[in-house]
Amino acid sequence: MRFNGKKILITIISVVVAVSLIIGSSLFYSKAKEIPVVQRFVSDVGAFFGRGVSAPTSALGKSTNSLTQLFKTYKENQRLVKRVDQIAADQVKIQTLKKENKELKANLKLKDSLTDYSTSSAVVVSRTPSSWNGQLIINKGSNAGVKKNSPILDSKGLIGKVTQVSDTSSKVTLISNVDSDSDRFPVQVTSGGKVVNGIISGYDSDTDELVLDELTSKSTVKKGSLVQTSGLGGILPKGLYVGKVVSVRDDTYGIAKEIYIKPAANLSDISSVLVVTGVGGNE
Amino acid sequence: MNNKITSNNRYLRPKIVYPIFLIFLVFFDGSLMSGFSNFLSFYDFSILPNLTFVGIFYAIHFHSDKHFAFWWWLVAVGLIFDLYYTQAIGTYLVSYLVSAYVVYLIDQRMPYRIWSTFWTIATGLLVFYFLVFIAGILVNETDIAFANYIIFTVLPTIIFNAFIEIIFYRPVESLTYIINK
Repeated sequence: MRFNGKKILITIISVVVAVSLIIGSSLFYSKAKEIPVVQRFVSDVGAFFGRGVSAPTSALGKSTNSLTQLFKTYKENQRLVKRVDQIAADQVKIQTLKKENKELKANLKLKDSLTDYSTSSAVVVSRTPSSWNGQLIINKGSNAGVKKNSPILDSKGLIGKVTQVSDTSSKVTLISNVDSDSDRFPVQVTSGGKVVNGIISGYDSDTDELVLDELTSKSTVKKGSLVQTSGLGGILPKGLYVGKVVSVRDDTYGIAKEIYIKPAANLSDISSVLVVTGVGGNE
Repeated sequence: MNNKITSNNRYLRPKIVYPIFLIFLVFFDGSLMSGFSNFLSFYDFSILPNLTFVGIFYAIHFHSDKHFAFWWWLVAVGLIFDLYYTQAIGTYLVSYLVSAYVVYLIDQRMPYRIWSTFWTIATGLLVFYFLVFIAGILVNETDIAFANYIIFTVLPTIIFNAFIEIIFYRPVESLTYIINK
Protein backbone atom coordinates (compact mmCIF):
# COMPACT_ATOMS: atom_id res chain seq x y z
CA MET A 1 0.00 0.00 0.00
CA ARG A 2 1.61 3.26 -1.14
CA PHE A 3 0.80 6.61 0.38
CA ASN A 4 0.57 9.65 -1.84
CA GLY A 5 -0.64 13.16 -1.15
CA LYS A 6 -4.21 12.43 -2.22
CA LYS A 7 -4.51 9.37 0.00
CA ILE A 8 -3.08 11.21 3.02
CA LEU A 9 -5.53 14.09 2.45
CA ILE A 10 -8.50 11.68 2.18
CA THR A 11 -7.35 9.91 5.38
CA ILE A 12 -7.07 13.20 7.31
CA ILE A 13 -10.50 14.37 6.09
CA SER A 14 -12.03 10.97 7.00
CA VAL A 15 -10.58 11.13 10.53
CA VAL A 16 -11.84 14.69 11.04
CA VAL A 17 -15.33 13.75 9.74
CA ALA A 18 -15.46 10.61 11.94
CA VAL A 19 -14.37 12.46 15.11
CA SER A 20 -16.81 15.33 14.44
CA LEU A 21 -19.65 12.84 13.83
CA ILE A 22 -18.98 10.94 17.07
CA ILE A 23 -18.57 14.05 19.26
CA GLY A 24 -21.40 15.97 17.51
CA SER A 25 -23.93 13.16 17.78
CA SER A 26 -22.99 12.50 21.41
CA LEU A 27 -23.57 16.18 22.26
CA PHE A 28 -26.83 16.17 20.29
CA TYR A 29 -28.22 13.11 22.10
CA SER A 30 -27.21 14.41 25.54
CA LYS A 31 -29.28 17.58 24.94
CA ALA A 32 -32.12 16.28 22.76
CA LYS A 33 -35.48 15.75 24.46
CA GLU A 34 -36.74 13.49 21.68
CA ILE A 35 -34.82 11.30 19.27
CA PRO A 36 -35.00 11.93 15.49
CA VAL A 37 -37.66 10.14 13.42
CA VAL A 38 -35.04 7.99 11.61
CA GLN A 39 -33.64 6.66 14.87
CA ARG A 40 -37.14 6.19 16.29
CA PHE A 41 -37.92 4.02 13.26
CA VAL A 42 -34.64 2.05 13.46
CA SER A 43 -35.11 1.50 17.21
CA ASP A 44 -38.69 0.25 16.82
CA VAL A 45 -37.94 -2.02 13.85
CA GLY A 46 -34.75 -3.19 15.59
CA ALA A 47 -36.64 -3.97 18.80
CA PHE A 48 -39.21 -5.94 16.76
CA PHE A 49 -36.47 -8.09 15.17
CA GLY A 50 -34.52 -8.15 18.43
CA ARG A 51 -37.53 -9.70 20.19
CA GLY A 52 -37.61 -12.52 17.65
CA VAL A 53 -33.87 -13.10 17.84
CA SER A 54 -33.71 -12.91 21.63
CA ALA A 55 -36.55 -15.41 22.24
CA PRO A 56 -34.42 -18.58 21.78
CA THR A 57 -31.27 -17.11 23.36
CA SER A 58 -33.09 -15.82 26.44
CA ALA A 59 -34.87 -19.19 26.82
CA LEU A 60 -31.49 -20.95 26.65
CA GLY A 61 -29.96 -18.40 29.02
CA LYS A 62 -32.80 -18.93 31.50
CA SER A 63 -32.39 -22.73 31.41
CA THR A 64 -28.64 -22.55 32.01
CA ASN A 65 -29.22 -20.01 34.78
CA SER A 66 -31.77 -22.36 36.35
CA LEU A 67 -29.24 -25.19 36.25
CA THR A 68 -26.57 -23.18 38.06
CA GLN A 69 -29.17 -21.89 40.53
CA LEU A 70 -30.19 -25.46 41.31
CA PHE A 71 -26.86 -26.07 43.04
CA LYS A 72 -27.38 -23.10 45.33
CA THR A 73 -31.00 -23.98 46.11
CA TYR A 74 -30.47 -26.10 49.23
CA LYS A 75 -28.49 -23.48 51.16
CA GLU A 76 -30.77 -20.71 49.94
CA ASN A 77 -33.84 -22.65 51.03
CA GLN A 78 -32.48 -23.06 54.57
CA ARG A 79 -31.83 -19.33 54.77
CA LEU A 80 -35.22 -18.37 53.32
CA VAL A 81 -37.23 -20.62 55.64
CA LYS A 82 -35.89 -18.58 58.56
CA ARG A 83 -37.04 -15.38 56.90
CA VAL A 84 -40.58 -16.45 55.96
CA ASP A 85 -42.04 -15.91 59.43
CA GLN A 86 -40.44 -12.47 59.61
CA ILE A 87 -41.86 -11.55 56.17
CA ALA A 88 -45.39 -12.51 57.21
CA ALA A 89 -45.10 -10.26 60.26
CA ASP A 90 -43.68 -7.45 58.10
CA GLN A 91 -46.56 -7.76 55.62
CA VAL A 92 -49.14 -7.30 58.36
CA LYS A 93 -47.20 -4.27 59.61
CA ILE A 94 -46.97 -2.80 56.08
CA GLN A 95 -50.72 -3.20 55.54
CA THR A 96 -51.45 -1.41 58.81
CA LEU A 97 -48.99 1.37 57.98
CA LYS A 98 -50.46 1.73 54.45
CA LYS A 99 -53.93 2.13 55.90
CA GLU A 100 -52.69 4.60 58.49
CA ASN A 101 -50.76 6.54 55.81
CA LYS A 102 -53.88 6.76 53.63
CA GLU A 103 -55.98 8.03 56.55
CA LEU A 104 -53.36 10.60 57.53
CA LYS A 105 -53.08 11.83 53.92
CA ALA A 106 -56.87 12.15 53.78
CA ASN A 107 -56.88 14.10 57.07
CA LEU A 108 -54.19 16.45 55.77
CA LYS A 109 -56.00 16.71 52.41
CA LEU A 110 -52.72 15.63 50.81
CA LYS A 111 -52.84 14.51 47.19
CA ASP A 112 -50.47 11.96 45.63
CA SER A 113 -46.92 12.44 46.85
CA LEU A 114 -43.53 11.44 45.46
CA THR A 115 -43.86 8.01 47.04
CA ASP A 116 -46.90 7.25 44.85
CA TYR A 117 -46.09 5.77 41.49
CA SER A 118 -47.53 3.39 38.95
CA THR A 119 -45.57 0.73 37.11
CA SER A 120 -45.77 -1.23 33.88
CA SER A 121 -43.87 -4.46 33.24
CA ALA A 122 -41.49 -4.84 30.27
CA VAL A 123 -39.19 -7.48 28.81
CA VAL A 124 -35.49 -6.90 28.10
CA VAL A 125 -35.00 -7.43 24.36
CA SER A 126 -31.30 -6.73 24.11
CA ARG A 127 -28.23 -5.45 25.91
CA THR A 128 -25.48 -3.27 24.41
CA PRO A 129 -22.46 -5.50 23.76
CA SER A 130 -20.04 -2.92 25.13
CA SER A 131 -17.99 -2.69 28.32
CA TRP A 132 -19.10 0.79 29.37
CA ASN A 133 -22.42 1.43 27.66
CA GLY A 134 -24.48 -0.23 30.39
CA GLN A 135 -27.70 -0.09 28.39
CA LEU A 136 -30.72 -2.31 27.92
CA ILE A 137 -33.42 -2.21 25.25
CA ILE A 138 -36.91 -2.95 26.55
CA ASN A 139 -40.11 -3.71 24.64
CA LYS A 140 -42.17 -0.76 25.97
CA GLY A 141 -42.11 2.76 24.57
CA SER A 142 -44.09 5.98 24.54
CA ASN A 143 -47.24 4.06 23.47
CA ALA A 144 -47.17 2.37 26.90
CA GLY A 145 -46.64 5.65 28.74
CA VAL A 146 -42.85 5.40 29.08
CA LYS A 147 -41.11 8.77 29.21
CA LYS A 148 -37.50 9.91 29.18
CA ASN A 149 -36.01 9.55 32.71
CA SER A 150 -38.68 7.03 33.82
CA PRO A 151 -37.08 4.89 36.58
CA ILE A 152 -36.62 1.18 35.91
CA LEU A 153 -36.89 -1.43 38.67
CA ASP A 154 -36.46 -5.15 38.93
CA SER A 155 -37.89 -7.34 41.69
CA LYS A 156 -35.12 -6.26 44.10
CA GLY A 157 -34.64 -2.55 43.47
CA LEU A 158 -33.72 0.31 41.17
CA ILE A 159 -31.62 -0.67 38.15
CA GLY A 160 -31.62 2.47 35.98
CA LYS A 161 -33.64 4.98 34.03
CA VAL A 162 -34.94 5.48 30.50
CA THR A 163 -32.67 7.61 28.33
CA GLN A 164 -34.27 7.23 24.89
CA VAL A 165 -37.90 6.53 24.05
CA SER A 166 -39.35 5.28 20.76
CA ASP A 167 -42.97 4.30 20.11
CA THR A 168 -42.62 0.61 21.01
CA SER A 169 -39.18 0.38 22.63
CA SER A 170 -36.90 2.27 25.00
CA LYS A 171 -33.23 2.43 25.91
CA VAL A 172 -32.42 2.07 29.60
CA THR A 173 -29.18 3.33 31.11
CA LEU A 174 -28.16 1.21 34.08
CA ILE A 175 -27.45 2.70 37.50
CA SER A 176 -23.85 1.51 37.07
CA ASN A 177 -23.45 3.78 34.02
CA VAL A 178 -22.87 7.17 35.63
CA ASP A 179 -20.63 8.90 33.12
CA SER A 180 -22.42 12.17 32.53
CA ASP A 181 -24.15 14.52 34.99
CA SER A 182 -27.57 13.60 33.60
CA ASP A 183 -26.99 9.93 34.49
CA ARG A 184 -26.59 10.63 38.24
CA PHE A 185 -29.14 9.43 40.76
CA PRO A 186 -30.14 11.42 43.87
CA VAL A 187 -30.40 9.05 46.85
CA GLN A 188 -30.59 9.10 50.64
CA VAL A 189 -29.08 6.89 53.32
CA THR A 190 -30.96 6.27 56.54
CA SER A 191 -28.56 5.56 59.37
CA GLY A 192 -29.31 5.71 63.09
CA GLY A 193 -32.55 7.59 62.49
CA LYS A 194 -30.74 10.31 60.50
CA VAL A 195 -31.12 10.86 56.78
CA VAL A 196 -28.10 11.73 54.61
CA ASN A 197 -28.71 12.92 51.04
CA GLY A 198 -26.20 12.44 48.24
CA ILE A 199 -25.75 11.65 44.58
CA ILE A 200 -24.54 8.41 43.02
CA SER A 201 -21.59 9.59 41.00
CA GLY A 202 -19.60 6.51 40.16
CA TYR A 203 -19.42 2.75 39.86
CA ASP A 204 -16.55 0.54 40.91
CA SER A 205 -16.66 -2.27 38.36
CA ASP A 206 -14.04 -4.31 40.27
CA THR A 207 -16.27 -4.68 43.32
CA ASP A 208 -19.66 -4.02 41.65
CA GLU A 209 -20.32 -1.17 44.07
CA LEU A 210 -21.93 2.21 43.52
CA VAL A 211 -20.10 5.27 44.85
CA LEU A 212 -22.10 7.93 46.66
CA ASP A 213 -20.61 11.38 47.26
CA GLU A 214 -21.65 15.06 47.39
CA LEU A 215 -23.04 14.29 50.84
CA THR A 216 -25.18 16.92 52.55
CA SER A 217 -24.39 15.87 56.11
CA LYS A 218 -21.35 14.96 58.17
CA SER A 219 -23.25 12.47 60.35
CA THR A 220 -21.74 9.00 60.42
CA VAL A 221 -23.20 6.38 58.13
CA LYS A 222 -23.02 2.81 59.34
CA LYS A 223 -22.27 -0.28 57.29
CA GLY A 224 -25.51 -2.07 56.37
CA SER A 225 -27.59 1.14 56.22
CA LEU A 226 -30.31 1.10 53.58
CA VAL A 227 -30.10 3.38 50.53
CA GLN A 228 -33.16 4.60 48.61
CA THR A 229 -33.98 7.29 46.07
CA SER A 230 -34.54 10.68 47.66
CA GLY A 231 -37.04 12.07 45.16
CA LEU A 232 -34.99 15.28 44.96
CA GLY A 233 -35.04 16.79 41.49
CA GLY A 234 -38.54 15.44 40.89
CA ILE A 235 -37.46 12.91 38.25
CA LEU A 236 -37.28 9.77 40.36
CA PRO A 237 -39.94 8.98 42.96
CA LYS A 238 -38.94 8.81 46.60
CA GLY A 239 -38.36 5.50 48.31
CA LEU A 240 -37.13 3.21 45.52
CA TYR A 241 -34.72 0.76 47.13
CA VAL A 242 -31.20 0.99 45.74
CA GLY A 243 -29.01 -1.15 48.00
CA LYS A 244 -27.00 -1.38 51.23
CA VAL A 245 -23.93 0.50 52.45
CA VAL A 246 -20.88 -1.78 52.45
CA SER A 247 -18.16 0.70 53.40
CA VAL A 248 -17.45 4.37 54.09
CA ARG A 249 -14.06 5.69 52.95
CA ASP A 250 -12.23 9.00 52.61
CA ASP A 251 -12.14 10.39 49.07
CA THR A 252 -8.88 10.81 47.08
CA TYR A 253 -8.05 14.13 48.79
CA GLY A 254 -9.04 12.96 52.29
CA ILE A 255 -11.46 15.89 52.70
CA ALA A 256 -14.84 14.27 52.15
CA LYS A 257 -16.39 10.84 52.63
CA GLU A 258 -17.42 8.39 49.93
CA ILE A 259 -20.05 5.76 50.62
CA TYR A 260 -19.87 2.44 48.76
CA ILE A 261 -23.19 0.75 48.06
CA LYS A 262 -23.89 -2.82 47.01
CA PRO A 263 -26.86 -2.59 44.60
CA ALA A 264 -29.83 -4.76 45.61
CA ALA A 265 -30.47 -5.72 42.00
CA ASN A 266 -28.16 -8.04 40.08
CA LEU A 267 -27.20 -5.76 37.21
CA SER A 268 -25.74 -8.57 35.10
CA ASP A 269 -28.86 -10.74 35.09
CA ILE A 270 -31.90 -8.76 34.03
CA SER A 271 -34.61 -10.33 31.88
CA SER A 272 -37.77 -8.44 32.87
CA VAL A 273 -38.22 -5.05 34.47
CA LEU A 274 -40.84 -2.64 35.84
CA VAL A 275 -41.07 0.83 34.33
CA VAL A 276 -42.32 3.59 36.60
CA THR A 277 -44.80 5.32 34.31
CA GLY A 278 -46.26 7.91 36.67
CA VAL A 279 -44.81 9.68 39.70
CA GLY A 280 -46.97 11.54 42.24
CA GLY A 281 -50.14 10.70 40.37
CA ASN A 282 -48.89 12.23 37.10
CA GLU A 283 -49.27 9.48 34.53
CA MET B 1 -13.13 -26.41 -1.21
CA ASN B 2 -13.99 -29.64 -3.03
CA ASN B 3 -17.65 -29.42 -2.25
CA LYS B 4 -19.68 -30.23 -5.36
CA ILE B 5 -23.03 -29.20 -3.95
CA THR B 6 -24.37 -26.01 -5.50
CA SER B 7 -27.67 -24.22 -5.13
CA ASN B 8 -30.15 -23.02 -7.72
CA ASN B 9 -32.45 -21.58 -5.10
CA ARG B 10 -33.13 -17.96 -6.01
CA TYR B 11 -33.55 -17.06 -2.33
CA LEU B 12 -29.98 -18.19 -1.60
CA ARG B 13 -28.56 -15.40 -3.73
CA PRO B 14 -25.50 -13.79 -2.09
CA LYS B 15 -27.05 -10.32 -2.50
CA ILE B 16 -29.98 -11.41 -0.30
CA VAL B 17 -28.42 -13.91 2.11
CA TYR B 18 -25.29 -12.06 3.29
CA PRO B 19 -26.90 -8.70 4.22
CA ILE B 20 -29.69 -10.51 6.10
CA PHE B 21 -27.11 -12.66 7.86
CA LEU B 22 -24.97 -9.67 8.91
CA ILE B 23 -27.98 -7.69 10.22
CA PHE B 24 -29.23 -10.78 12.07
CA LEU B 25 -25.81 -11.03 13.79
CA VAL B 26 -26.08 -7.41 14.99
CA PHE B 27 -29.25 -8.29 16.93
CA PHE B 28 -27.92 -11.70 17.93
CA ASP B 29 -24.92 -10.09 19.70
CA GLY B 30 -27.27 -8.00 21.84
CA SER B 31 -29.50 -10.94 22.70
CA LEU B 32 -26.45 -13.06 23.64
CA MET B 33 -25.24 -10.24 25.86
CA SER B 34 -28.67 -10.01 27.47
CA GLY B 35 -29.32 -13.75 27.87
CA PHE B 36 -25.86 -14.85 28.96
CA SER B 37 -24.46 -11.76 30.72
CA ASN B 38 -24.10 -13.83 33.90
CA PHE B 39 -21.71 -16.20 32.14
CA LEU B 40 -19.96 -13.59 30.03
CA SER B 41 -18.74 -11.75 33.15
CA PHE B 42 -16.56 -13.66 35.59
CA TYR B 43 -14.21 -12.32 38.26
CA ASP B 44 -12.90 -9.08 36.71
CA PHE B 45 -13.09 -10.37 33.15
CA SER B 46 -15.86 -9.58 30.73
CA ILE B 47 -16.48 -11.07 27.31
CA LEU B 48 -18.29 -9.09 24.63
CA PRO B 49 -19.90 -11.26 21.95
CA ASN B 50 -19.03 -9.83 18.53
CA LEU B 51 -20.38 -12.38 16.08
CA THR B 52 -21.07 -9.51 13.68
CA PHE B 53 -17.31 -9.13 13.31
CA VAL B 54 -16.90 -12.90 12.91
CA GLY B 55 -19.49 -12.72 10.09
CA ILE B 56 -17.62 -9.81 8.48
CA PHE B 57 -14.40 -11.81 8.70
CA TYR B 58 -16.00 -14.86 7.03
CA ALA B 59 -17.33 -12.62 4.23
CA ILE B 60 -13.82 -11.28 3.54
CA HIS B 61 -11.95 -14.55 4.04
CA PHE B 62 -14.24 -16.66 1.83
CA HIS B 63 -14.36 -13.88 -0.80
CA SER B 64 -18.10 -13.40 -0.35
CA ASP B 65 -17.45 -9.64 -0.28
CA LYS B 66 -17.18 -9.77 -4.08
CA HIS B 67 -20.71 -11.16 -4.44
CA PHE B 68 -22.62 -8.28 -2.84
CA ALA B 69 -22.12 -4.58 -2.02
CA PHE B 70 -20.08 -5.56 1.04
CA TRP B 71 -18.67 -2.17 2.04
CA TRP B 72 -22.00 -0.38 1.69
CA TRP B 73 -23.71 -3.05 3.77
CA LEU B 74 -20.91 -2.68 6.31
CA VAL B 75 -21.80 1.03 6.60
CA ALA B 76 -25.45 0.00 7.11
CA VAL B 77 -24.49 -2.55 9.79
CA GLY B 78 -22.37 0.04 11.63
CA LEU B 79 -25.18 2.60 11.45
CA ILE B 80 -27.80 0.12 12.69
CA PHE B 81 -25.47 -0.84 15.56
CA ASP B 82 -24.97 2.82 16.51
CA LEU B 83 -28.63 3.78 16.23
CA TYR B 84 -29.94 0.69 18.02
CA TYR B 85 -27.41 0.25 20.82
CA THR B 86 -25.59 3.51 21.52
CA GLN B 87 -26.16 7.22 21.81
CA ALA B 88 -23.40 8.43 19.49
CA ILE B 89 -23.46 7.81 15.75
CA GLY B 90 -20.11 6.93 14.27
CA THR B 91 -18.40 4.81 16.94
CA TYR B 92 -19.27 1.38 15.56
CA LEU B 93 -19.68 2.63 11.99
CA VAL B 94 -16.03 3.73 11.89
CA SER B 95 -14.76 0.81 13.98
CA TYR B 96 -16.40 -1.83 11.77
CA LEU B 97 -15.21 -0.15 8.56
CA VAL B 98 -11.59 0.37 9.64
CA SER B 99 -11.15 -3.04 11.31
CA ALA B 100 -12.77 -4.80 8.32
CA TYR B 101 -10.32 -3.00 6.02
CA VAL B 102 -7.42 -4.12 8.24
CA VAL B 103 -8.71 -7.72 8.05
CA TYR B 104 -9.06 -7.33 4.26
CA LEU B 105 -5.40 -6.24 3.97
CA ILE B 106 -4.01 -8.90 6.34
CA ASP B 107 -6.10 -11.77 4.93
CA GLN B 108 -4.59 -11.36 1.45
CA ARG B 109 -1.11 -11.87 2.88
CA MET B 110 -1.88 -14.81 5.18
CA PRO B 111 -1.79 -18.49 4.11
CA TYR B 112 -5.24 -20.06 3.52
CA ARG B 113 -5.18 -22.16 6.69
CA ILE B 114 -7.66 -22.41 9.54
CA TRP B 115 -5.11 -21.48 12.27
CA SER B 116 -3.86 -18.46 10.33
CA THR B 117 -7.37 -17.03 10.56
CA PHE B 118 -6.99 -16.85 14.36
CA TRP B 119 -4.28 -14.19 14.03
CA THR B 120 -6.18 -12.30 11.33
CA ILE B 121 -9.40 -12.07 13.32
CA ALA B 122 -7.48 -11.34 16.54
CA THR B 123 -5.74 -8.38 14.88
CA GLY B 124 -9.04 -7.17 13.43
CA LEU B 125 -10.75 -7.35 16.83
CA LEU B 126 -7.81 -5.60 18.50
CA VAL B 127 -8.10 -2.71 16.03
CA PHE B 128 -11.91 -2.70 16.48
CA TYR B 129 -11.82 -2.46 20.29
CA PHE B 130 -8.96 0.05 20.21
CA LEU B 131 -11.10 2.35 18.02
CA VAL B 132 -14.14 1.81 20.28
CA PHE B 133 -11.94 2.78 23.25
CA ILE B 134 -10.73 5.96 21.50
CA ALA B 135 -14.37 6.86 20.68
CA GLY B 136 -15.33 6.18 24.33
CA ILE B 137 -12.68 8.65 25.48
CA LEU B 138 -13.73 11.23 22.86
CA VAL B 139 -17.32 11.29 24.11
CA ASN B 140 -16.21 11.01 27.74
CA GLU B 141 -18.00 7.71 28.30
CA THR B 142 -15.16 5.74 29.82
CA ASP B 143 -12.46 6.23 32.39
CA ILE B 144 -11.17 2.63 32.36
CA ALA B 145 -7.36 2.36 32.30
CA PHE B 146 -6.23 1.20 28.86
CA ALA B 147 -4.16 -1.69 30.30
CA ASN B 148 -7.15 -2.94 32.33
CA TYR B 149 -9.37 -2.66 29.25
CA ILE B 150 -6.96 -4.73 27.16
CA ILE B 151 -6.35 -7.40 29.81
CA PHE B 152 -9.82 -7.80 31.32
CA THR B 153 -12.07 -7.09 28.32
CA VAL B 154 -10.29 -7.18 24.96
CA LEU B 155 -8.19 -10.33 25.47
CA PRO B 156 -11.03 -12.60 26.69
CA THR B 157 -13.26 -11.09 23.99
CA ILE B 158 -10.71 -11.91 21.27
CA ILE B 159 -10.24 -15.46 22.57
CA PHE B 160 -14.02 -16.07 22.75
CA ASN B 161 -14.83 -14.68 19.29
CA ALA B 162 -11.80 -16.27 17.61
CA PHE B 163 -12.79 -19.62 19.19
CA ILE B 164 -16.31 -19.25 17.74
CA GLU B 165 -14.76 -18.36 14.35
CA ILE B 166 -12.59 -21.50 14.35
CA ILE B 167 -15.48 -23.77 15.43
CA PHE B 168 -17.77 -22.58 12.63
CA TYR B 169 -15.01 -22.22 10.01
CA ARG B 170 -15.64 -25.49 8.11
CA PRO B 171 -19.48 -25.35 8.09
CA VAL B 172 -19.43 -21.70 6.96
CA GLU B 173 -16.81 -22.53 4.30
CA SER B 174 -19.10 -25.22 2.81
CA LEU B 175 -22.19 -23.01 3.08
CA THR B 176 -20.37 -20.08 1.46
CA TYR B 177 -19.30 -22.32 -1.42
CA ILE B 178 -22.92 -23.34 -2.02
CA ILE B 179 -24.24 -19.77 -1.86
CA ASN B 180 -21.47 -18.19 -3.96
CA LYS B 181 -21.91 -20.76 -6.73
